[in-house]
Amino acid sequence: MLGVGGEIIWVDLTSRKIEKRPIDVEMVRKYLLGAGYLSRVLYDMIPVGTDPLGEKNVLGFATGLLTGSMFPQSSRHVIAALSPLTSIWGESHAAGFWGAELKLAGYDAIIFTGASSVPVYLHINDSRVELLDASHLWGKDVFETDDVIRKTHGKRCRVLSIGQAGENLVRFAAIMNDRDRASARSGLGAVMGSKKLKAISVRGTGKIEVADTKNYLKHMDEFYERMMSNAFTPGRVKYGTTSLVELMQHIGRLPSYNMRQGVFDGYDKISGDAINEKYLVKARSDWSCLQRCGRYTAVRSGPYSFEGGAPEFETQSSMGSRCGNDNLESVLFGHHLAYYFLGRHNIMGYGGMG
Amino acid sequence: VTELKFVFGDPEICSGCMICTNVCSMYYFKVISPTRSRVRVLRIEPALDFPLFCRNCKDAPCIEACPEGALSRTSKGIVIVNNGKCNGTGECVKACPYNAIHINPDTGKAIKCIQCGQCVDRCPANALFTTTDNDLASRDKDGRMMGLYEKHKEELYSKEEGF
Repeated sequence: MLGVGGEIIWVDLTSRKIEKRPIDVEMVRKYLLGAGYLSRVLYDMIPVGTDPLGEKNVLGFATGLLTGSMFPQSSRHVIAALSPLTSIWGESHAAGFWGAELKLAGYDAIIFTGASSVPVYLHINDSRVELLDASHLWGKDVFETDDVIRKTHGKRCRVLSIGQAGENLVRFAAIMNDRDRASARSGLGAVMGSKKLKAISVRGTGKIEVADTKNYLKHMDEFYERMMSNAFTPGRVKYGTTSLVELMQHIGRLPSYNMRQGVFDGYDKISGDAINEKYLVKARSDWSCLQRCGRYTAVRSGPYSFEGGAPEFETQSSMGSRCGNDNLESVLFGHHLAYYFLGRHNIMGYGGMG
Repeated sequence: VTELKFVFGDPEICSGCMICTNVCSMYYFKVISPTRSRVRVLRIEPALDFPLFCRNCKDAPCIEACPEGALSRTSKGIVIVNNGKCNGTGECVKACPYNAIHINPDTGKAIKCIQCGQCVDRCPANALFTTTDNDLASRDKDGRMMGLYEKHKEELYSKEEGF
């Protein structure tokens, strides 16, 4: 089958057994990959009444059929398990490079069963897949974990990990990848923590093959042209999602004062323009993304000094308008702090709904 | 003498999307694979993304290094690999000061940027351009771009298998 990694990694954390199985083509045809595939696998594997933080919960990571391709914005992966917030289906998605790297290593998904008694991380280097001791990483935040793992396994290694919140089973903890990309919904970081799985690092030097090699680039050119000429694109490049503050304000649905009202007087102080004027360092992309909506900002002095990936509309509203707070520097800093363990969507209180 | 051309990218504009690497591997090898691309992209914090191309050095140490004489400069000033002669010794890879030559694991032959411009045309951030030493000096009068490459040269140009 073209366009896929080809294998699924099955890891039993209790017995530390790692198995690679070829993807079931019939199953892919029926459920595609990504969330469809995981929903079937987890439905078949998790018994009714399972404790989300117990060792019977199954934690799945999957790429989609387009992940790692040249299709615009094809960077995403999905993570699923029973959610510790709701005890039902928990699903969370993130962009970055981790999913594409997994595909390039030759895999479409990883399924974890059981639980380890000591901290471990899974390292994938093409065909070599191993569970390694993570006691030196336990207690570290996701940035430190990224630094240490890339120092150990190479600069092109892509790292997905949990921070202290996941380790300590906080029920709305995120799983982070590529430093500032978050799978924040459903509290899956706690599931990873309950399995004592600190991180999954991937290095893939393989290739993704396509069916129509002759015309593939031509087709992509059409998609690229359409996306670049779309009226929505210039705004996305300029503001990311931060311009939504203004839009929501104008239609009266900007969550404000703990949802008591839909307009916020100080909205222009936390708007996309306010960010661009003083704090935006760069627009950043994930794998094969043309719109580069990722914001990289810096507050250069004062109590809220930081530099890093931030913010999105969700944090502008949740730490800004929803709190009645128009101090933009504190909003940006709050977003940055959330990366250490929570993830922006959970800050907004979406946990368990996503 | 033709002025030597090379492709260059602004690390403060490059968003790190890696479309250039995938365009390259698809154009030349019909696969999506950063490891099979003639350009590499490396993200370095804070907020920098470096596209890495052949700089088309005047003294071209890669040409000198090849024991098979597989590398040469064309009349247009492009350093090319003769696939008939190349047998993947990797001496050019070691000799390149910019980590801009790699061995394609499928063919076992050296690959490097030949300034075809396929990626330049498709860079969504317009971070890439074909340039010359003189042209770059005028585009980068304050040395901002070159300064960033210089500052991070150790991390950028250190060799890592498969990168």
